[in-house]
Amino acid sequence: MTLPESPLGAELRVIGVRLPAADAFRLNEMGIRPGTLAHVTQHAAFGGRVISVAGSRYALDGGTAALIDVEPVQRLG
Amino acid sequence: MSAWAVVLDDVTARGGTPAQVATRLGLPIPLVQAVLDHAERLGVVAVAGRGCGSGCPTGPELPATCAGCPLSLP
Amino acid sequence: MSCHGPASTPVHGRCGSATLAPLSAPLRVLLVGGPNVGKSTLFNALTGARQHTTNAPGTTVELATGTWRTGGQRTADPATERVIVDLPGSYSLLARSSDEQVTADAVRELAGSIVDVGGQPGVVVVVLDATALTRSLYLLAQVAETGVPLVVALTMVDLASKATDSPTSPMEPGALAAALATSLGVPVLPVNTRNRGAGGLRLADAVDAIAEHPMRVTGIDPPAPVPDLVQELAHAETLFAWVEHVVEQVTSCLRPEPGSATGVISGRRLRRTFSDRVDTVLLNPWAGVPAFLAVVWLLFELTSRFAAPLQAFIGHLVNGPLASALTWALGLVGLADSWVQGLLVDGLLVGVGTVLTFLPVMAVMFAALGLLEDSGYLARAAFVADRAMRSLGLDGRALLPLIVGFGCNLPALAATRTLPHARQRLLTGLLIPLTSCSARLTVYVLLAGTFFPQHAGTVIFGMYLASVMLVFGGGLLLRRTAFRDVHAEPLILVLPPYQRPHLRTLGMSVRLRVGAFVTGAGKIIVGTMLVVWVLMALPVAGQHAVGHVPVADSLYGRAASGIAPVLAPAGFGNDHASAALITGFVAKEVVVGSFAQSYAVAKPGDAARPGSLGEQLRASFDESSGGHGGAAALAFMVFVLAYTPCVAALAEQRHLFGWRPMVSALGAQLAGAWLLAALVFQVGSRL
Repeated sequence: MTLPESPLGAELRVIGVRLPAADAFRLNEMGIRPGTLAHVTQHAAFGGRVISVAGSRYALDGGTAALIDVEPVQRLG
Repeated sequence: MSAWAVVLDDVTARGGTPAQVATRLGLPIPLVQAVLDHAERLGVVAVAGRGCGSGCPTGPELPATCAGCPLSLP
Repeated sequence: MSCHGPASTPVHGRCGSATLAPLSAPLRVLLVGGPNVGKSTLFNALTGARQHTTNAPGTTVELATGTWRTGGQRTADPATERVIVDLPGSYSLLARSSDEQVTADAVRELAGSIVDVGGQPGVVVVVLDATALTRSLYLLAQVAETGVPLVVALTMVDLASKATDSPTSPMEPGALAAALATSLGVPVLPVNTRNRGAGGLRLADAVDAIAEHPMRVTGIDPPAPVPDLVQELAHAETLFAWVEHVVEQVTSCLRPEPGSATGVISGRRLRRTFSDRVDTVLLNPWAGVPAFLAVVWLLFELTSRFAAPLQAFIGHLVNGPLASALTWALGLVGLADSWVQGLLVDGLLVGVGTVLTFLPVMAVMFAALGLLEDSGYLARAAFVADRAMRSLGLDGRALLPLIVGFGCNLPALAATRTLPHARQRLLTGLLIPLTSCSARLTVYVLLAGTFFPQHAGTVIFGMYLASVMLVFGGGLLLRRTAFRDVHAEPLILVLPPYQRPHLRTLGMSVRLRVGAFVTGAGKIIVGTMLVVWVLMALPVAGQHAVGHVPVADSLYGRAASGIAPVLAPAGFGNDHASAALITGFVAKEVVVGSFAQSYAVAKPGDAARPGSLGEQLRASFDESSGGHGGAAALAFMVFVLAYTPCVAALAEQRHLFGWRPMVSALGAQLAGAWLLAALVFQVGSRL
């Protein structure tokens, strides 16, 4: 599923970034790449999302968020 | 290996924020920050996102992540 | 502890050697530490009023130097004076800025001079922040490596023991200092800068003692010279190994630093921070926009409350006392009433005065933006506004400059620098002149009040609405034509945690930005107003001396009359209006004054037009519009809205984008304004 489809507060793992190379690189520099663990902290208007990665908060507009594929993290117990 | 070597190895291989490095290595954040700061002063690493929040970097060569920031002034 | 310890490398210090400096030379104390560790507070506490600021030689970096006096009259101790220097806050002796370089140089110089026979005695007080121990120790290690005699002052001890994110129980402040002293092997004095007394004395004793008998920091050896990177890296390894070691020793008996509570941060459980909670409101789809609008409203309130009165004050000052003084001075040298006086008083002084009146607006705008930026809200604002801007091919970041434009177009144009791509900057820079700045408001107030007294407020609101529509309309038009290549970038913003703004940094940045404006656009404004004065002073008809020309007979007046017919289709083809628009080209604030001036200095032979400015305005507008004065006034206001904001804006546009875009913009502004005004009049006069 994509990032905007994740519920508020969900813990996710990024599995794909379908943005153009330059933008994907910028995300990469910020630590958002396949394998990254993130929490969804805010749902903003028009699909915009704020995620928390290792304590930092990143805001993404709706169009960009829709190009980030994620899967929920399963926690045991 | 000392913290210095371990942090440099990790950040060279994978990059990320000091917090992320600290999580991966299980080290205190202040220590990782101090190591990365010294490394940056030696020119061994480039730390992007420095100075966010107050006193944004200025000058002709802005760090790449400043391009995404509404506050960067050349 | 003896100075010559087991690791017997050469000792940098005057261990009771015979090279004592003369007793009269006061001890030199250097205060070293990171920014925000309480160093300057300590310095102030030790020196009181006995301090002054100097520049570090050969730099623009300021140093505070003072006298640290203890003992004397009311105590049992002999009076002792030391010279203490507050060095710029540094994170490292591996300098990255001129401030840090000054600190590093000062410490190394002291180290060098101590080795010299007969060198000045000196001690470094390294300020350690108990809440940021790792970072402080890193700096301490580097200072210790230079071999200077040093003493540690420990600050923020009360904060460290009050930190609540650890399971261990609070520690007595003294215990931390003791633990550090044991680990480091040098005196560690906790300093509570709130009460000067005891802490300062003990520090003084320690400093004096160390000056006599310097101690080595345990585990730190002066490094071999490090000419290359490989050795630097090896050195860094030992440095951090030492830091870790000390932190470990001390941490075992105290509350850990923030972030190291369990040694690992857990990415597992998300802790909702204060910033998260605030963002729940500010980024909420429904509450976010009203919050944003409230912030914008506040921005304008600040301008009108602070900047406007200041502007008026400066204006009065320049046109009143300053002008009189200059006139009087010129009279002393026999230049009264000459064209020189006119040039200097009505040309140069007025020009400089105009630039000065811009300063309050610019300063308030920059300060407000800086506050928003520093507090962390600006990133949120860009995020909230993002969607609205995407329709223009811009993103949230472009909204801020546009909003600033409603205050003044100048800082708005300067603010386009925050946009990452040149095309975006250009597009935004072309739309900014369409935002109705506060100077244009003065024109609306005059005309709306004169022609629509019952509905003045509504008319003015209508003008602002028109401005917004022009921005969007213009933006869409440009996007479909010349700017088809601009597409909205993904918006990826780091949202920093909210924090209290640092006022000193803010002050410095405002000073920098305002200074840049004065030296840039300021020169153009003054130059142009001088030119206007010259045009007004040169007679082309009648027998007049240069500088004493009624407006209508001057080159300027002729130009105004020449232009007037062009404005006829818009209903305001009279000399007064065209003259006002010409001065308005220089600065909109002058339009109202120009009207007043041109009606007041009408040629004596004219059928004298009696009455107030309002009545005269109505009379001339009615005449030039064939009885549809109201429509003509509306058309005039639309023209004022849409044409070039001011020469300063043109200058800034040229500065940012180059000549060609500026000239094209100029042409488009004039043509567009004319078309719109004509349209408004033609339609309005038929309603």
